[in-house]
Amino acid sequence: MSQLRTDLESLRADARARLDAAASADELDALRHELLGRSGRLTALLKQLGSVPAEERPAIGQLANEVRRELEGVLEERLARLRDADLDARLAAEAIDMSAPGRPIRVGHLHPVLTLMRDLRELFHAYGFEVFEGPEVETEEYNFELLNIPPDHPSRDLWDTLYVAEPGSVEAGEPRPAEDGTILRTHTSPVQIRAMRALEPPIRVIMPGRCFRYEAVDASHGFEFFQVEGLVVDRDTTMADLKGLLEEVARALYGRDVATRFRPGYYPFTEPSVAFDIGCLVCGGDGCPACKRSGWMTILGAGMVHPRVLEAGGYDPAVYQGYAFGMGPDRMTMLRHGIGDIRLFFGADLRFITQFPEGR
Amino acid sequence: MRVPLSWLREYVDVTLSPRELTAELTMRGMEVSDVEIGGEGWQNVVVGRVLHVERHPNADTLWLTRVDVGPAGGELEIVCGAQNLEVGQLVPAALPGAVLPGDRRIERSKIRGVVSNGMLCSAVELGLGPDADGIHVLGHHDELPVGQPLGEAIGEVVLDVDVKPNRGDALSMVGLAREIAAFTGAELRVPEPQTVEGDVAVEDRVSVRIEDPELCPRFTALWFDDVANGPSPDWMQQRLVAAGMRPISAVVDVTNYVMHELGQPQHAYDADAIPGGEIVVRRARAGERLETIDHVDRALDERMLVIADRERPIGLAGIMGGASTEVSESTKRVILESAIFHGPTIRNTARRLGLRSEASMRHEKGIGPDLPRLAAYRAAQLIQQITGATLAAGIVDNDPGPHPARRVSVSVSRMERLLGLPLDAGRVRQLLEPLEFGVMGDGDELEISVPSHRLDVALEADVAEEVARAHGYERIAGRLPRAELPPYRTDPSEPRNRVRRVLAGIGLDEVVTHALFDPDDLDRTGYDGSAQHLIRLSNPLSEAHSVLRPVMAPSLLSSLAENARRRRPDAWLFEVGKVYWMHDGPPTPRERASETAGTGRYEAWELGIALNGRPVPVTAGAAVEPADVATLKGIVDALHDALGAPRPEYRAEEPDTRHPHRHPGRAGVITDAQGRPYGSLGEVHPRVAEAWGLPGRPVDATIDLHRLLELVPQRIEARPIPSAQPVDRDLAVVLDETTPVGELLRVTRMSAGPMLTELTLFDVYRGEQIGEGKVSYALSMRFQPDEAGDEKAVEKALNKVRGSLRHHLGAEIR
Repeated sequence: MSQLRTDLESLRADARARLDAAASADELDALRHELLGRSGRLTALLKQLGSVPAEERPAIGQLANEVRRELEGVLEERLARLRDADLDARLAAEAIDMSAPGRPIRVGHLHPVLTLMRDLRELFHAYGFEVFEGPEVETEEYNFELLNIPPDHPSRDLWDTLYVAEPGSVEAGEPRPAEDGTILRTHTSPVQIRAMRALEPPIRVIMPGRCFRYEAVDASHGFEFFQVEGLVVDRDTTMADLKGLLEEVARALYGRDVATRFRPGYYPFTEPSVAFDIGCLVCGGDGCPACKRSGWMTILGAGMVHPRVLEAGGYDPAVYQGYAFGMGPDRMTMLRHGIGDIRLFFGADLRFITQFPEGR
Repeated sequence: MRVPLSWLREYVDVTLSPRELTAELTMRGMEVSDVEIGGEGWQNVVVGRVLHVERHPNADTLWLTRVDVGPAGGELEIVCGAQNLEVGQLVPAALPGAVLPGDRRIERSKIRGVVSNGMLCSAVELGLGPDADGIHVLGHHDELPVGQPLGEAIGEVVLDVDVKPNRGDALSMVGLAREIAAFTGAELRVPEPQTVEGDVAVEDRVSVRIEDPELCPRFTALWFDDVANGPSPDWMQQRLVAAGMRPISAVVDVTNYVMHELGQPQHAYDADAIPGGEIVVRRARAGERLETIDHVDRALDERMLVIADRERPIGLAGIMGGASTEVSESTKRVILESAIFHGPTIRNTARRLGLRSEASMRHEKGIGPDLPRLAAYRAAQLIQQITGATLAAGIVDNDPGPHPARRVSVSVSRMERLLGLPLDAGRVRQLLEPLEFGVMGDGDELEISVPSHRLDVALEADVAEEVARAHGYERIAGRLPRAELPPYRTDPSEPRNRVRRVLAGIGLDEVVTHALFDPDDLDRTGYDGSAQHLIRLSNPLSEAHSVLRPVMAPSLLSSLAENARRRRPDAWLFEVGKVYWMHDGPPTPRERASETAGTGRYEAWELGIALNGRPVPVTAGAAVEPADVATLKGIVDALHDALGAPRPEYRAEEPDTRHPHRHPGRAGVITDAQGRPYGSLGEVHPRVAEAWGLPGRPVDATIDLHRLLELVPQRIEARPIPSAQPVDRDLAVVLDETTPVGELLRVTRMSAGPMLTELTLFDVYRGEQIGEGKVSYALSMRFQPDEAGDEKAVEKALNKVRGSLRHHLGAEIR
């Protein structure tokens, strides 16, 4: 047995003992250097291989490789175990209070009335209605006359009007309505005329927007409010089509089982005119203060477009016909969310707005 | 219109319950908006009989009564203060535990030492009328059973019917009864007045001259002698009160009664106050005045129609009579007017004088041509009956008729097509005849004769509505939407809605504020509330809502202030709304893109953003900073990113165009790559913030939405995914501190070319090493070469950047 073999065996035993005893990755690194490095002990021993008799050389060489592999294996294993232990220790030290609050991210809110108007747009879009818009600062001609509401007609009482002042008259202390008949539109109906004049039949549009009325403010009235107007003009749309559409709309908005009532109404710009009710959402139809004991709530007005309005829009009423309807999204939003005061809609009360995630 | 059911029943038999009648009328277009069931406010009030009355032992003005209140209560002692008590009377007795209108509760109580077991009620206590003086006596014999609940005994059901403006004919008991008769098949009973005429000829007493026949197509007059005008009978007073009128005197009450019964407004004049009985119907003359019966002296003008004597106006036609000819209890001779006036003129006059009455309302809606004469004789009958007056022979009437019925030609097939209902001539006849229409013809083309009271039916569509109403709207079979679809159009509101959704996603809350605001709010915000371009109202509800907003800033600041007042100073919010202005002359480019009705007034959509304080509460472990201008820019940039629009550039506002509500050193414009502004932003001027009561340092931005949305690409073209790795380079640049950093970014971006995909300013340094008046900026750039290993191209681009910065900005590159 050559000395070299003995030295290798003792290196193996000594190294294993020291590797087992190593307590840190640094120590292991130092050991790797000392034992297996380029100028380490194993290399030093191998340098003696030349002095070993030739016939023994393969066996000793094999032994040397075996020792190297073994020590490398042990070293890696020890290193991995130590890394795990280090990581465990670090993780243990890093524990946090999982009950602590999160870092807040702000979430924005959309206005509930505008969200309801979006839902109406989507609903009517499914029936082929497109959106058409018109100005809020209107003329009496469009707001009234072209809609078959002549001056000093009693039906004007249905729309108390805010008049734009003649320029300079307010400043002069003598406010008077503008001579050119400019007013704030009292409804979205003037957009019917604008749509008829701008589009070719078949016309199927909804016309959402802000309206203004000379109206004292209380929990259910405001001087600014929203409306969504609808208009269909073609050659053969009938009152039965209007009824079918309104019933579908009521079901879409208030549920498949909602009771509906299609009854005569009055608007100068429709003939026949329609009022459309749904069963009271508060009492279910038994009668309560919310529905004035009638069991019904009126949600929109409608009718077949008046021949004179068709003419004003540029159509021959002997050929073209259609229907129009108007809805109050403010009131519909109040019903949707059980809101008791319409004044909350105009203003910036974040206690109110932030109740409606994504506005819905 | 208030319709007492007992009065209505005089003209038609109603077998429906009040609830059924309400539903039926509503379904026929006579919407019943409320039903008042008389006696609903009475609990435990019964008919009692006074058995005994004696002085209260301890009070001179009180009485102690014994009252039989029927089997349930027996005989009760009740203390009473009224002076009209008599033994044997039937009276309303409120028992202990009773509730009266106004939620007044009656209990057993001691009055001056004597126990009173309830209360005897006056009319006012029962809510039946204004009379508070005495007990409301129900009868003296056996008119009502003693012990019967009072509601059952005398409770009146009153319908509140919302008669539409086109149905003036239904503004009366007979008018409504006619509708009910038509749809129930019951018989209609129209009064057929019987009068006795005296010897005097009316022509010898009254003459009427109509100067403007267009404003007064019909005027009838009757003459009465020997009028004994006192109070009208109880039955008439009760009906008038139930209908909402105040009883005055027999003659006046009769005119009101007939107006409610038949729909014809009338006026009675004290004939002795009209010299020679000469009546002139004419326009008022400039400068004329009239004291109306409400004792208000009114200035008249030529647009108003008056009734005059030889010289002076004695009444406002169709609206209110004059004080000088008012009928009183001493009136002996009366002229009774039943006329038709021009509705629009009456309406206009009534509105301008603020004097709308039951009469003017009916004139506005129109009176059928056959009504004045019927109503005149009906009133004559009642006046004779009640006052014993003598009616002069004959009637003054400028247009006695006959008035031929209006004819409307209709096509059955066109009405079918309009209504979506199967029809034929027989069915049309069956539906219209009960409503008193005549139907002539049997084929497709029919002639419809319209009853004289139906002024609203003139066109085929009007006849179609009557057909639908008679058929029943509820029986029209609804059909699902069908028919050809219009061509697709883009939704003009959708881009605005994208903006709203993005901002809510970024964490802002949406507000909607009034477009009408206070000119003072402009002044408070640093703008001129008296500026010429403001759109003002001539009849604002209040000064607080008298101008349309020309800018968003006051709305935004008021929104922040509203929340600050509620101890919510931290608010990040936005509004998408319109601004409005007036401009004479050729429209500016912005005005050409705005909405307008063509009157020199314009309205345009604008986005306003206002931030104050922190977005979220200060939280342990989180760095939550209050919003500043940089936060606002970050939001504006993010909005552009989310819309796919190129990010804007920012530069300081020029002093002469600076928005007056902003901090002069912290106000900027938002521009496109060509430097064209389309918005502005900055910190709110501390004085403006203080004026609004805003704590902290609020910032705001406003953006022309039309211009912003124009920057959004119509189509997004996908770029190929590069095979090469990006190359990152940093650059340190020293500039004069007077050079805006925006210039550094702009020049860098422009000179680097399309390979530069990201550019970040990651450090700013001032210090001695850099030198006085100098700033060092550190930029990090990411280049995306086309091909792997194309570092040369990157270096070339970088060199170009260095060169441009040196050349254009005098930069020192380190």
